Amino acid sequence: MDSPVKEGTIETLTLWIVDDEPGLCLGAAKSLNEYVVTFSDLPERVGFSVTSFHTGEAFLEQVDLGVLPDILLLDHRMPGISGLEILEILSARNIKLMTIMITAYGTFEYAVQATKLGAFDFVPKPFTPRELRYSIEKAVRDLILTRKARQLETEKKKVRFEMISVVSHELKSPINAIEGYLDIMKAQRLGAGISEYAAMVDRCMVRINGMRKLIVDLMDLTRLESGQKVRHVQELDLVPIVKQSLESIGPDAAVKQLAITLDMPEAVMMTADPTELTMVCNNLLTNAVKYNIPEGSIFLTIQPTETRVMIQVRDTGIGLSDDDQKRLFQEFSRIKNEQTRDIEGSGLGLSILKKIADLYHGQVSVKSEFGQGSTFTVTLSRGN
Amino acid sequence: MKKSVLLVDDEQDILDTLKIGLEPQFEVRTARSGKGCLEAVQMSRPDIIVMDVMMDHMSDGFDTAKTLKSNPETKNIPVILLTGVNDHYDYRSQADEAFYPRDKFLEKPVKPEVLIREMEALLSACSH
Repeated sequence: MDSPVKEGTIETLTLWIVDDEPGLCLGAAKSLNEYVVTFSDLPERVGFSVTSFHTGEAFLEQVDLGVLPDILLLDHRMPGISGLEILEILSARNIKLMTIMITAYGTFEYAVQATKLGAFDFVPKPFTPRELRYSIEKAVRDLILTRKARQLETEKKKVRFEMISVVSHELKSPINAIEGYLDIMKAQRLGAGISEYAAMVDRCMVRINGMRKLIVDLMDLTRLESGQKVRHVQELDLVPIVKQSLESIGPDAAVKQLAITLDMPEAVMMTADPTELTMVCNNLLTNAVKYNIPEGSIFLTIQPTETRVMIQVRDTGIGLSDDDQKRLFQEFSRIKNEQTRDIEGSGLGLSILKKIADLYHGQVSVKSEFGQGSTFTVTLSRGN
Repeated sequence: MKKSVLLVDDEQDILDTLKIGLEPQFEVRTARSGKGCLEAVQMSRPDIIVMDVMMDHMSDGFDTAKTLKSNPETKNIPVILLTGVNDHYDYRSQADEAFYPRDKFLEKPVKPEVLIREMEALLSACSH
């Protein structure tokens, strides 16, 4: 029971019954063979493939061959080896099996012993199909939840490894570049005058700023993901925040001589954290500037409805190909081509944007045409 | 007469720093992609090429090297391929006979002195 199962399909677990009473085995098999377990709070659907063994020895033969079931239904009192002895053998061999003991009425000490040896549950005989199924359901639920927990652990480690790998890669590049420049300065390859190296020093600063931005963005992203960020959610007006953001990109937009057109109402009240909204606006607007052409345009539209607000930024920039659009929201994804080669960025901006949108039950989408420009649309809940 | 080298890397800073290191001894041209490399080679054949295996997050450099090696006009130009620890593949193991002994893999970051030494070794080997 290791690999994840597609939703909607029935997963079949192997269930072995070890009991010397053929009638009981037949009855139990009948109750379970066509039965499908479903849960109100889990998507999994589980069916069973049932095999019966009439002696503990026959069961152990299979175990010796390395074959094990997902669930074991085990009787205690059998002519040969007993249920408890089997539990002891499994325990000694460090074999962990989901085991439900079939008990005769009134055997408390036995139940305690069995539990200590790892049994999960008990079904007293004679049992009705309902009683059996109830116990099996508990066992299946436990198996599913254990598997999910294990998958989560593995997933967590994988994501951590990937993130650390990518960060180290992203940092290597500026570090190597700066080292290259420092080596040249040390060897005074351009002569003894310090002014000769001014351009290089500037380049080093640019690369250092890039590294700093990477770290800042990484922290923002991680804090958002882990819920560590303290939120200051309050009643506020979105419009002043947008205006602030426009002011901050003003200088860079002016350098490129970009024309900015606004379409927004007087005020848009909403329940939100001002820092988060600022990040959304800054993100959309800085991209619209960075990837724009000289003398290009930016169109910013704010459109509220009763319960939501749409923030849309359209640029006349270099645009994105269909392939690039698909990759866009992945962490550290940076679109690298002729036009974008010299554009600085951490590659985390859009991931951060998406995480923030999630906090507001919102969406982020992009429409773009390569060479023409892009339109990014963010919709957020106003929380009212 | 100075030998000519074509430096190919998607990072301008690397091109700028290596150029300064190589310029006293070599005539240096630069390109920023595999496409740029092939165009530059077409225009004027360099004596040696130094190229990053990965450019623009893809195996651009390695693929371009393979293209150069499979073209009878360019296969004899020695190529030094620069690899990084975080490359997608182990490019060294992917190089077939077309690559050796004329070509070499070096790991980044590479100091200009080391690069010059390797370049001169390759150039003198090729002239025989």
